[in-house]
Amino acid sequence: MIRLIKLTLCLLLLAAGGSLAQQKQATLAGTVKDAATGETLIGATVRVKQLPATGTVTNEYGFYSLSLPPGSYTLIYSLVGFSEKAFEISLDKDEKLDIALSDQATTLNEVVITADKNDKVSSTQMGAEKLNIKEISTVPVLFGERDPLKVLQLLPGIKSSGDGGSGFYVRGGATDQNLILLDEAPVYNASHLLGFFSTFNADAIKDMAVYKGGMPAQYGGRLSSVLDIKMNEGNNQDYDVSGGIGLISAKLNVEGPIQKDKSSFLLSARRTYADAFLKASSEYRDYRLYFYDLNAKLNFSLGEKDRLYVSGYFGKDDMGMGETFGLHWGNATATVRWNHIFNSKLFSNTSLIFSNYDYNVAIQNGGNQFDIFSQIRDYNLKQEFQWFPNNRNTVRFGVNAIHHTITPGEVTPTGSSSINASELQKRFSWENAAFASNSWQVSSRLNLTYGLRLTAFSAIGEGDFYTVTPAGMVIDTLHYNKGQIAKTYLNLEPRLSASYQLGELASVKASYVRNVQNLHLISNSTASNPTDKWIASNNNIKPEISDQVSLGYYRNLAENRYELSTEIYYKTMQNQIDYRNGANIFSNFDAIETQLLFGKGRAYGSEWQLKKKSGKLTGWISYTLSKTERKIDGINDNLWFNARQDRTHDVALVGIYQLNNKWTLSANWVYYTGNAITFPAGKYQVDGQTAYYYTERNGYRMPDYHRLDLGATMKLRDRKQLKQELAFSLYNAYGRENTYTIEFRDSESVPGRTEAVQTALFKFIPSISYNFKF
Amino acid sequence: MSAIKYTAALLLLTCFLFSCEKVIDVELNPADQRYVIEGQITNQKKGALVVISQTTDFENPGTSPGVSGAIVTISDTQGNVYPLKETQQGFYQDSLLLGEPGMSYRLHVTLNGSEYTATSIMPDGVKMDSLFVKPDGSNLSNRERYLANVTYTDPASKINFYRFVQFKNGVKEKNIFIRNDERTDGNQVTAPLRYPADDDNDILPGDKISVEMQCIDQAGYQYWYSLDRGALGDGSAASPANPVSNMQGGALGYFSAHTSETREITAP
Repeated sequence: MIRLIKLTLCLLLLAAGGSLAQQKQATLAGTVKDAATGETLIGATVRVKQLPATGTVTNEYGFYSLSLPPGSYTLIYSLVGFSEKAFEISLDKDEKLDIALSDQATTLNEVVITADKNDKVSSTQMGAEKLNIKEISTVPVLFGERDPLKVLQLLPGIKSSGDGGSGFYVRGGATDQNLILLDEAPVYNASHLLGFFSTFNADAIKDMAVYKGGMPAQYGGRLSSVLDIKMNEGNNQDYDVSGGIGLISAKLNVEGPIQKDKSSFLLSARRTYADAFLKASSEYRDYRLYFYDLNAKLNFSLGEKDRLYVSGYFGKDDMGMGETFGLHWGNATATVRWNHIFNSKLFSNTSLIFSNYDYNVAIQNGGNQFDIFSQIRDYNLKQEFQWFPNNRNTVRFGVNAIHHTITPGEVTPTGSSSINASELQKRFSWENAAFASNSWQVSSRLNLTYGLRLTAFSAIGEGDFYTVTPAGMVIDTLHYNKGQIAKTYLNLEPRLSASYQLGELASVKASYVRNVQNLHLISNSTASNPTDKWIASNNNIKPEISDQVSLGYYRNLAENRYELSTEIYYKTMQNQIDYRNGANIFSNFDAIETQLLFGKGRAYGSEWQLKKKSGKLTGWISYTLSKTERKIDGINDNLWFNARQDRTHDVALVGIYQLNNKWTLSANWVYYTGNAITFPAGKYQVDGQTAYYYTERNGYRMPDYHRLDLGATMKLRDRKQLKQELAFSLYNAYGRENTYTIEFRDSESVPGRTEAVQTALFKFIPSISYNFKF
Repeated sequence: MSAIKYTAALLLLTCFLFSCEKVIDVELNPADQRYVIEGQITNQKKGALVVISQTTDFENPGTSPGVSGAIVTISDTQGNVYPLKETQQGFYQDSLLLGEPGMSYRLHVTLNGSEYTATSIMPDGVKMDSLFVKPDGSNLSNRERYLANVTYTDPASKINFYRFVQFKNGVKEKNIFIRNDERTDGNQVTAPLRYPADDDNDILPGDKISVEMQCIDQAGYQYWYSLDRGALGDGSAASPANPVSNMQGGALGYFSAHTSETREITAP
């Protein structure tokens, strides 16, 4: 393996070095920031007027590096939503140049957006979607709570898991196959209140990128997508207080400089108070149903070359019924990052990451009182280098080591109880990876990005590991001591992508990517449930592996006002997990693998998006045609069947209209084919009650889903520093009763008959919220 | 287990605040009929009973009639073979056959040229210590409810499975009550028989409550568990499926050798 890594690095250097020898160059490097807040800007374009084919894009810390032959140049810095800035420079040695760009939000409507180095046509990345936080704030959402994850689901290829769920399916993957990162820390359960809200508070978020295919080599660990969310750093120029009060939640965001230009802080908090309504009703006053969360970040400039970021997220949900039942769950993440600029060509980031998800269930049940506790906890160290050897190559390489501890379940009796204390074995594992990639501008038209990720996953002791037969019987148990390796899986993940510019306005791209996943979520309910279990690969559970090829075409139309993009993909998945019929995954039994079945999957489809990027009316239409299937030994007579998330058609229409300076109107409409579902083929009686007889898995479909949401934002008159607005939204405006579940039962009105009953969740949910900033 | 039910209940509450239900038409493809064999042998006087019926299309009103003409026997490991007689259409019985705890029994059915078999071991009985009716005490429903409670002493370091069947004024409660001793091994257990609140079948003062306690084998537990989770039409199960059965030969249903003890009480 070590030989392989050496070989890879050699190859990378070869490519980089090949063009290094050409001529003497001087390097210009620096950081691009927002003039008003001092926030670093991700993805800002740096172009050279005199050399139209030369340019670069700032990285995730706003850093850029550009090597040019000595000479005089005009550098143009730009980013959507900011005024372009030109800078004259005479370059004869390495120089540092930090640039601040000014927000142009107030004049956005008149500006015709020019082709941007970072738009879909000219960027070399494919399968990626970026979400603008400004866009998120105008799209109407449920309960008026601006939820980035909900807006994400309006993009092609990203499918909502249904009403009231913040889980999403990407290109045929399941909800646990998305790597969700908040400032690099994995978030294991991105939902609040059983999925009605996501853990991401739009106020605290700076940038959101999702990769559906062609994932860069620095990301790994999940099969179908990477959602990389970065928190705001906090204004280092001025104090800002903003907040909002809605029907069921309130939030407050405070940020400002600790030392102007040098350091800043940000604190953002939310609390829902839906339970206040429950308290008001005599029937439900014992119910609890709320969450709160907190985002905090500090950042410090430690001189010219170093920068330190400390960020954290903490969220907690509480639901319960009096003394009888209580369920608390939440995520906590913390990230410490140190940026170091070795020189104008070498950028380094070291991250120390902590991530924790746990839940506690408290039950008092007829004299039995006990708690069930479960947790997944990670310690994670990541070292990454970005090397800019010359203008044609950008090399990234690094290592990542994660230590996972999974506590599947601890039962503690509280008070009088006939329940015994018990604890399932804690499970330990190491997930290590090394990666390297190079983005090589072969010619002014052709770009190649090639990389390799090597992952080594080890299930380690202390613990018992089982030998399980295909029928699910434990035939042997081996004990491993603390730190002893029970099983290691080595996997190589090639990441290749190419883009070719067809003139100024269009491009084609292709990519191949392999992803490996070693943590798997076990759930047997249609709704996302906080008590779903994470389990790690071990001697019986093999890593999930996916291979995806995709091909895309992108074109800007009508003077860059419109952008058309289309991608097709084909993906195969190995070692997919399903459950045995009648599996009891919440059993106290340690060897959960006895309850699992394994198989494979395939997914393919075509995604289209037409986006209007400027003018009074902006928005997009997206359409996805796709197929997702599974073949699991022991299910559906071992034949291929539609995965639950298989949907033939998926349409989303999003429109935002700036009526005047006071009013902004918005609407979105979604339509999709119903999920695949299992219906009975017949019925019979067991012990005097009706049971249903099943012949095939997921052979039917839910009714089609469609919904229209409307939104309007009214700016109220500014008072000195105070800016304020009222936001109205109407979710499901025409009251479509979309199916949440279908139940089969005996008819109450006609004895002997059986009937299918559909439950729909939301019909017209209006909301109003007041937002302010000063 | 119960945590999941509570979560489901809360989710339902959330839904209830906003949701609406309606009966819809679904077009279901008819399937070939399958036999359903329910067999049991107990240590009580009601003896051995095997009921044979068939599946029917979802749209059909009523239930399918019993299936006649089967040859049904139960045998034990000591080589005794007991033929069961058809006492009414689809009902095969030997009312004198008493099962013994610890014995393994085999059901054999020959029907239309096909053979169906199943084996079940009758566990040692665990005595019901008491049966009483008391207020629910939990706030799971929004009004005062009465529940039947059973107490028993679980034998230590032995795996036990239990099933309870509750009758109110002679009418069987449809909810499936099963328990294991994963978390209660060796303890004195109070088991409230909790079922979804429903105006029509709540226990009221003066109701005659009878509860049968069965000690079942693991296959039996697995059957009732998977029936409850996946085959009763509940919409929240991710993948409904036929229950896991000990029946061989392609028939639905189960064969259970279990101990049985019934107590009665009048709700105060």
